[in-house]
Formats: sequence, structure tokens, C-alpha cells
Amino acid sequence: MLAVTIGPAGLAPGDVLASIAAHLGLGEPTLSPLRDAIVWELRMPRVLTAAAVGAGLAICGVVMQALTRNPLADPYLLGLSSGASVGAVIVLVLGMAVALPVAAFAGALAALAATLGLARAAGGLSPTTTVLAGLAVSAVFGAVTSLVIFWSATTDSYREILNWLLGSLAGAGWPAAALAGAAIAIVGLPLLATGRTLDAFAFGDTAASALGIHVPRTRALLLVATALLTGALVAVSGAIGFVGLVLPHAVRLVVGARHRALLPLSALAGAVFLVWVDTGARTLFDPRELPVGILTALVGGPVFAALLLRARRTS
Amino acid sequence: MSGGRPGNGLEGSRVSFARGSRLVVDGVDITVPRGAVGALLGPNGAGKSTLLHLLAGVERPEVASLTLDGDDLVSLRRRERARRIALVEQDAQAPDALGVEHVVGLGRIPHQSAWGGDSTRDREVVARALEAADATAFAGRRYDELSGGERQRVNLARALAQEPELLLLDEPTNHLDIRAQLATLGLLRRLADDGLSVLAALHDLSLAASYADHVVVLANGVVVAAGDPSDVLTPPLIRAVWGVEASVLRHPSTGRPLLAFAPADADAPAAPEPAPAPEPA
Repeated sequence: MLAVTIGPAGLAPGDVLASIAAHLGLGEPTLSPLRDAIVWELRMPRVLTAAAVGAGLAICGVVMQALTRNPLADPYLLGLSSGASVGAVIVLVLGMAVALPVAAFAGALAALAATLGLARAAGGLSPTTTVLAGLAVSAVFGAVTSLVIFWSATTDSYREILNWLLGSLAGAGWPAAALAGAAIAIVGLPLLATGRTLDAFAFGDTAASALGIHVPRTRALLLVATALLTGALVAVSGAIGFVGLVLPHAVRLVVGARHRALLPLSALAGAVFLVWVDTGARTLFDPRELPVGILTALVGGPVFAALLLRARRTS
Repeated sequence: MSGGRPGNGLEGSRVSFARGSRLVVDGVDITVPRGAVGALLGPNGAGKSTLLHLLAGVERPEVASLTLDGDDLVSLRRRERARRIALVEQDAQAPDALGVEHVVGLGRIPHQSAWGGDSTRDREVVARALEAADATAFAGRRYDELSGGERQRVNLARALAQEPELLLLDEPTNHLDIRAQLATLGLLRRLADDGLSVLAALHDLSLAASYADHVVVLANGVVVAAGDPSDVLTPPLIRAVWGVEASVLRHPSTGRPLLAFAPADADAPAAPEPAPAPEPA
């Protein structure tokens, strides 16, 4: 919550607490209406959205890495985020904002199916093949996103394209926070209970099956759940990359591979990480704002490279 | 590891499984009495792995009947089946950095609920399984740092943590040196003597003959012979199934069959090839 205090308009932690307390009916408003609005209308929802998106992407990363037994799996690298962006952008252009989460989900699901289908057709779901397939799918969906925005040709289409492709939390108000929060509550929390099931996949499908898991049904159900969660998150933030890749690996180094610990701690780490990276994104180049995805990619790219080297060494 | 449930062990009648249009397992009758070690023999591609997968519930066979201690296995729920049958796969591939205790703890999954953690009993069973599999010494190490023999003991401990009545193993001595092979098979023998039913796919016929109570010989998905090793492992059968010439000797101290293979003679007419097919993954 400290992140709420950081920004162009200087605010003390006490001011922030006072504003939050006032809005929760726990005290008298003491701040000027303007400063109060900065806390309650701008920064609070944005920080909460960042936390929800970070947590959700990290959960998606853990689940996908376990189910595909692929250390490089992540909603961004496998194209889900790009697919969700396409769905989101299309309904926004058509002016049907109500359908936003549904369209983003459909886009994410289509991208997931395309990536896995392509990888399978190209000779199996090895980490490298899957990531290459995800790259191809991302490229196509990213281009479609850009095309749709450019074609609809409103005033500032370049900026909007950047926000969808790179991910940005600028303009995340209470509706965005509510959508991301609901996605976490409805899809994210149940996924936290799948730790034991994900553990069972450690030795592959046959072993999972011999441990009493219905493998095809479980995998389909959980992958659809990650698509649903990714869809909802991308609908509010665009395609923020690498959170789902980097955080689970970092947490795994500390707590090991037990999914019952890995899932909640990755979610927590993802939330904290994205809140702080987003705080950096909106303050580093003050008064201009960076799309937060630039910073996550700056951190995630090198980690991705390191994982790639390690995957090559062990395979 | 099994509770003293009365019953006859595994009894399967006319077990079949088709992959595409090919019958990989074709009307197999198989029994593994409680407390016995059965060896599943046959050339590569005979259907041994597939049969073990079918019995473990990994894939669903066509059967006339398939029971474990009198209970129908086909209608048994997956979790319930996983509490009664454990499978040790061939060449298990683990991701990096799993601890041995974590790996053995995976065997508790069929006994655990989604939200609960490890109970005291879970930890006790894991400790006992490590003990029974002679793996307690490396309980604190990483699975990917172990030798092949040590890994196999951990795999065995994971299966025992399921507290099964029937233990299925796919070539458990594969890639092991002779000392580790004997240790693994001796361990299976002891577990069976304690009441576990064991069925292991094996390639070494002499080892199978010295540790198994009975052997089942599979070729092209069909059982060609089954029974006491001394009765089954005869030179004509070995020639027919594997296409090699063998002499059956007797072990000087145990009296068990011991197989000696004649080197292939370049001038002799080639033995009939038993049409090997690739072993399904």
C-alpha cells in the first residue's frame, strides 16, 4: 500500500490511510477533495489492479508450467495474452464493452488451442517447439490487434496499440480493479487448491494417471481456467509479459517445487512484483508514463534467456 | 504395506486393448496371487508395458473380467484404484530439483484432499516406504542427483507410499548394474513375502526365473505360456518367442532355471524373427 503514496503528487502515508479510512466509513475526510481523489480514484484502484493482475499471471504461469511440464510456459509466451488482446480490442472497436471479458477469454482460448495444436503438429509438446508455436501465434494475433486498432483510426491509435501489445495499467480505475479482482476470486482462488493435482504431473501423464488423476479432463479443465483468467486480466491490462514466467521460477528457487506452497507464494510474489514495477512505470519518466510491460520484459527477457540455456543443458 | 484383506490378488480374464486397428493386447488371461511375484516376459513390443498400463488404469481395456481381491477394477473410481494399485514406470523422467521426500510424498496423492496438507499419517507412511525400499539414507537428497539404482529405490518407495495391494513395475532393473538389479529384485521378493502382490515386466530370463513364483510370456499381445518358471522357460519356447537358441541349466545352489544362450552362428539358418514392433511409449 506504500506504493499508493508514490507519484507525481506527493502524499504522505498518513494522508493515504486517512483517505482509505474515510472511504470505508472509518473516519472524517481530512484531505482536500483533489488529493483525496488522487488516492481513491487514481492510485488505489490502480495498485489493486496491479496486484490482481500480477497474482493472476503468476498463478497461470505455475499451472501452465506444471501441466505442460514445460519450464518456459507462460500466458504471454504461449500466445494467450495476444489472443486475449485481439478479443478485447475487437469488442472495444465494436463498442460492446460489456462483452470484454468474454471476448478476451475466447481470444485466449483460441490462441491456446492454436499454439498447442501447432506444437503438436510440429512434432510434440517439447518446451522449444511449444514456445516457437507460441511465438508464431503471438505474432499473428499481435498483428491483428494492431491492425484492428489502426483501422478503427481514432486519435491516438499508436499509443493504444502499444498499451495492448506491451501491457499497461494506465487508466485502471475501479471497474478494472473489480474485474481483475473478480477473476482472481472466481478462477484464481480455486486454482490455488490444485497444488496436489499439479504435483502429480511431475513425472508425466502416465504417472499422474496411475496416481488417480483423470489426465485429459484435468488438463483441459485447468488450461481453460488459465485461459479464462488470462482473458480477464488482459482485458484490463493488455498483454503484460513475463510475470507468469519469472515469478514462479524465482519462488521455486526459494521454496522448492511443492505446488501447494508454490501456487500461493507465486501469487503473492506476482502481486507485489507488479505493484512495484507499475509504480516504477508511472514515476521513472515522470511526467510521461511507460507501459508497464516494457519494464516486465526488461526483467523477464534475461530470465527467459537463462531458462532457455538451462533447458538446453538438461534436455 | 497391505492390510490383511482376504482375497485372491489380481485376476484378469480376456484383457484386450486396441491402438488404432491393431490389437496390442489380445485376450490376455492373467493372475497374480496375493503375496506372489509374477514376471511378465516377452520381446520388445510384445505388449508388456501396455498390459501394465491397463492394469494400473492408465488406459481402459476391454475385459471379460478384471478383479483385485474380488473387487471389480473396471468400475472402481480412479482415486480408489490408485490406493490399491501402484505403477513404477520405466525410465521415469523427473524435472529438476525435486527432493527425494517430495517424490515419495507424491504417492500419498490418492489419499489426500485438495486443501489439506500432509497429515502425521502421511509422513509416517512416507518414512516407512523409504525404509521398506531401503532409501532412507538419501531421503534428504535431490532426486536428479541420485544414481540409477538409488532412483529406482525412490520410485519404489513412491509406489509403496500409495499403500497398494498390487505393485506393477515396468522393467525395474533396466539400466541398473548387477548389484542394483539383485537388490531391486530381492526387495520385491521381500515385499511379496509380506503380502504384496507384485507383477514386473523383465527382460533377463534367468533373473526372472530365480525371483518369480510364476512367469507369463507375452508375444504380439497374446499369452503364449504361463506358469512355474521351470515349466515355462524351455528351449523350444525361447526359440519360438525370442528367436534365439538357449540351453536351460540349473542353478547349482537354488536349482532354479538358468539360461545360457548360444552365440549366433553366422552359417546356421537364421532363426525366425518374432516380428518386433516398437514398444509403445
